[in-house]
Amino acid sequence: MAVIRDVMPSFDLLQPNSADEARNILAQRGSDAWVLAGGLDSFDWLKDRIKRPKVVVDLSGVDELRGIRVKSDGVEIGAMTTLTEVAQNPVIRENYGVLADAASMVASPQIRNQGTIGGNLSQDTRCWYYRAGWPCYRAGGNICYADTPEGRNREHAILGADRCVAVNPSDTAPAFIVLDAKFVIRSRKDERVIDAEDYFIGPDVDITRLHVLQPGELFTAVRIPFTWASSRFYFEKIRDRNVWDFPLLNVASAMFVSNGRIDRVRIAVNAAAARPLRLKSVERAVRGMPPDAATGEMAGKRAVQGAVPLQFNAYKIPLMRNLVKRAIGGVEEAKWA
Amino acid sequence: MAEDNQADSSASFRVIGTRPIRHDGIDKVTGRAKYGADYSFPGMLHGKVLRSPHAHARIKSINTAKAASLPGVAAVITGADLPTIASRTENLGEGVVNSRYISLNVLARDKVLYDGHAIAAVAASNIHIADEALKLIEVDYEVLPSAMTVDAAMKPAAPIILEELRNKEEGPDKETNVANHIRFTRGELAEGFATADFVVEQAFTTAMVHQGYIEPHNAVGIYSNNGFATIYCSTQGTFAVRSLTSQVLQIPEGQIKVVPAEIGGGFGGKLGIYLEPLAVLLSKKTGRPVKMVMTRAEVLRATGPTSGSKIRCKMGATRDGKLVAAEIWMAYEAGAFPGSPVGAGAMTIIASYQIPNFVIDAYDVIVNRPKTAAYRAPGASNAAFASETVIDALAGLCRIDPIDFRIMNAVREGSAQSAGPPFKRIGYFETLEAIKNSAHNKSKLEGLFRGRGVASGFWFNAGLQSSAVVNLHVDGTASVMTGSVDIGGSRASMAIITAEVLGIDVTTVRPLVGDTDSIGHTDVTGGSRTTLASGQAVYEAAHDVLRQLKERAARLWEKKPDEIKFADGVFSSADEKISPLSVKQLCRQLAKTGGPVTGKATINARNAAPAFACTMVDVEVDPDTGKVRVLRCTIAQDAGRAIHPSYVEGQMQGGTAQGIGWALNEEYVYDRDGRLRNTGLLDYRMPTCLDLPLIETVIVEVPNPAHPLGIRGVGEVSIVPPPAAVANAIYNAIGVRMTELPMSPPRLLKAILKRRHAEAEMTNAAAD
Ligand SMILES: Cc1cc2nc3c(=O)[nH]c(=O)nc-3n(C[C@H](O)[C@H](O)[C@H](O)COP(=O)(O)OP(=O)(O)OC[C@H]3O[C@@H](n4cnc5c(N)ncnc54)[C@H](O)[C@@H]3O)c2cc1C
Repeated sequence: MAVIRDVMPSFDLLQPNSADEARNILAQRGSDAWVLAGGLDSFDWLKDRIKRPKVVVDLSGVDELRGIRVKSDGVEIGAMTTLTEVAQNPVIRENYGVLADAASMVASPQIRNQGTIGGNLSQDTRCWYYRAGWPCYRAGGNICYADTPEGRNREHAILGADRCVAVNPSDTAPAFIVLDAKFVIRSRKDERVIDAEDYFIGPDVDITRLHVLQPGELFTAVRIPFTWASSRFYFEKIRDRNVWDFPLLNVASAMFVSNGRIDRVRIAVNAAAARPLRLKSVERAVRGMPPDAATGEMAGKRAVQGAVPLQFNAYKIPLMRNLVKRAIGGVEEAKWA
Repeated sequence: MAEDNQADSSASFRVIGTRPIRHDGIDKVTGRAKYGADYSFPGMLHGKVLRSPHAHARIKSINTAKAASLPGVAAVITGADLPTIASRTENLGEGVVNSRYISLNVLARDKVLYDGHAIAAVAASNIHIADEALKLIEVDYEVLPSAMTVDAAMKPAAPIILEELRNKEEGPDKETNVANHIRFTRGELAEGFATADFVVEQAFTTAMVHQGYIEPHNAVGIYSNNGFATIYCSTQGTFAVRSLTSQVLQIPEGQIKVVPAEIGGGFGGKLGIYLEPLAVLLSKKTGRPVKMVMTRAEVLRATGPTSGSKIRCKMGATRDGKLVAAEIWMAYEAGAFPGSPVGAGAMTIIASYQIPNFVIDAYDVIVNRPKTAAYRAPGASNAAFASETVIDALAGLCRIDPIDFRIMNAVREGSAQSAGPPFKRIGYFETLEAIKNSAHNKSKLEGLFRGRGVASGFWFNAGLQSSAVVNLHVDGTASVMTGSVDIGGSRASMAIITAEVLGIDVTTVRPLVGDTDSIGHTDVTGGSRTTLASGQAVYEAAHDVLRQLKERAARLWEKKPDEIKFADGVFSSADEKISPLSVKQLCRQLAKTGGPVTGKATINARNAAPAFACTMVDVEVDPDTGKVRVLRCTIAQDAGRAIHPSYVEGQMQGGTAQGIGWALNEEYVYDRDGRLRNTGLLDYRMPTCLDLPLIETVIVEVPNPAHPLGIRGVGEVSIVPPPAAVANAIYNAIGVRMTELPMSPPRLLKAILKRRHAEAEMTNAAAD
């Protein structure tokens, strides 16, 4: 957690009116610049004086980055669209319930009113050592404080750790992955469109970032194809408190069932690793099976294969197993009491 | 029963028992009320505190030169600027305090004893410069091994936290972390257990938790050249701040004035001092007012939470449900200085039951954590989590309804207290009956993984000293001043009592909270004492006014004072030729009959009476995730007499909400080397409104026979039952006994899996 909670040190504040202008500024100022969306993550870093950019580029005046548009091949959500707008949008609720559910379970109403989709997907980890400004691997040092005998790590990774054991805390990320969304990223030179899944990276790829966004790049929109629209969705988030709390773990899934068998399926979890994990081996294993309790059990077991607990987060393994079980098999009334 | 008592009270009172809008309400909801941080003065400087990053370290040197020379910095102080003082203990109303330790806590001297321990303070022209200056203070530490838990601190080779600490048992030569061992016994333990058909023994662990008041600690200190100091601050006790600051700074009490700001919550956490002496000292050094306000991280790291604890509780009962013996071992984390509420824990843990044989061993243990402060019925919630869980298990073994089991064993008038004289008239039985008869208990709880639990709580309540003045105005309105800071709506109660006695409209009474120069000594707003003790002072001060008014009427009518009758706000005489006068009319005659009328009273109340509460909780447990949802909650509590029922209910609900947070989510998370990890409210998880059901309340009124209005005090006991009630409900939902707080999803899931594992092994064993 935070250390100082002070007023921010000074920086140049630039407030572009258009995406082009924003992109130009970013291209020029490169790694000196910090993109400011809703500010919920940004201001923590700035006030704690842990990140000290020279320039802050505030996107709140860029209208074209805002809003939800229905296109012929899907729906496009501007990066600056708030979580509340996403959660409440009728088209999204109708077609992509898993996303509406995920967005509506983020943090608290106030934070959802202010937090943006681009920001939610690009937010940094909540690891309390890293956020307290300790010189860990992720901050450029050569130790992971959470993974020492002294460390406290109940909210850290059970999968995919590599030196750093921090997790990605986004609730909407796994929903976008199961919807096969594409993220639109603009740089000085070009516009890239990448699969949601590929946006996120683990410490094995880059230990200092949770995603592929490079300094100088702008996240402009999310495009969701109709591929998974109105499929059978499941989203569940487990948190200590019922509101205003990050996930201990979450799961999102989408499936089409025909003749009582799982036809096509996608499933992803977050807060288990440094990036949201699409569980491809589970997807393969359950295809062709009935979406019932037995398949759910099998899926849950398969999901946690290779999971490695730290000192205080062993609970995440059964938790993940059970969330995947429910996502695939449905919430059966358990036979145990 | 409860209804009967309530009917009684409304019949005999005109204003008491009604629910007028609180007098301070509009200013509070419109932002006009002034809280501590709202005070500003011309030329004011801003102060900040440098805090230890280590749990335990020797301070080899402190160099403040660079900080002092930063432009904008006006003064830097360290522990060397505070006088050294000898041990001296004083009772503040919620436990004994030692001014030497308070001084060492205000600024560390040779050693820092916990993460967040204050080391130095800076005054600068703004807080940012002050913050920058803190970074320029160079401290050379020799980091020492720390002891974070009672287990670690009680080990033979534990690091010694306070070299000077001794206890009677271990003698004058033995360095120790055990500040005190208390023992209470009755009967013969072995004989008692020999008669038991069922014995339950369990070990419990509870986490250190914070009171979680919204407003952080703050103080403005103004030191004047004439040697007088004024302190504006948010506190539960202006006179306590005065006395403690006087001791720490060695300034005579009469030269310190403490002005209470509105208080944004305290719950026991604002009985002591942290910033006050620093603000005064910095003001003395700079000649300017100095304001200091903590951040949330400072509040969590360095102000008093309440103890985490370890409790082993063994109890026996006969088959027909009679408790026969109890053996209890309990150790509480005091923080870095002696004074956990383990004594109160020991005195409350089985106080509600008639148990002929028991031994209670209680240990006050210092650890490298912030010095604990009072928190609503300090020590009792930890204790009840243990005893009320074991009692629930015994009721189950006896196959007796848990409420009936408690009724069968409940203390009543004349029962011996486990520690103290026999009980006078108490309302435990009535409280249990009220829960038994509640709509909640009569409702059916259906559905999978749902369970209902009950638990009870006991708290002594305090009396102590209070002063009150009632001023009558020419227009027949009145003001009533006490020295009691208003945390829970006490202004409304003071106005109600004044209006009741004087027969005037409650909205025409203006309740005030005086500073230390404007009102006589008044002890802290704590110990559930304010409406009882300050309320009684107000009651007597209003009667003083009434007596004087009768004299005035007598003078006016040329009668003797005892010939004057007073009823419903009207003075009259048996003489029919004299037309009666209302208070308002008589007020116009005051100048003529001798001048203004002011009533006053001071008391040292010795009539505090215990409070009991019983709480019923329905939960739903998700066995796949360990998540607990509280579906319904009802609390019955004996208030003695509810002066303003809404604020009684507010106290019942507030304490229950905090108790549920304590039960489910709240905990200090320290690294193994003693650094606090969760220093903000995002991951120090207090409950939000979505974590709580509507908390239903049943006010029980068994009047305190020793109090003129029957008041007992209602502020604290409501926090005692929830942890055990939730744990008992979880057990009834899924058959898992939780013995560790908080019962967060990770912990509960672990316990569920452990239980499943054990079951699977038993099945396997059976199959073999
Ligand atoms: C108390 C609290 C609780 C929270 N709880 C949850 C929760 O339960 N679940 C959850 O999922 N999230 C949670 N969050 C995160 C929150 O929902 C926001 O999504 C998140 O903080 C960032 O969104 P923002 O719009 O405020 O972005 P900012 O904080 O402004 O930005 C976040 C990061 O993304 C970058 N960025 C943002 N937009 C762009 C863009 N268009 N192009 C390039 N880079 C960009 C910024 O540079 C910055 O690095 C919580 C946050 C807080 C403060």
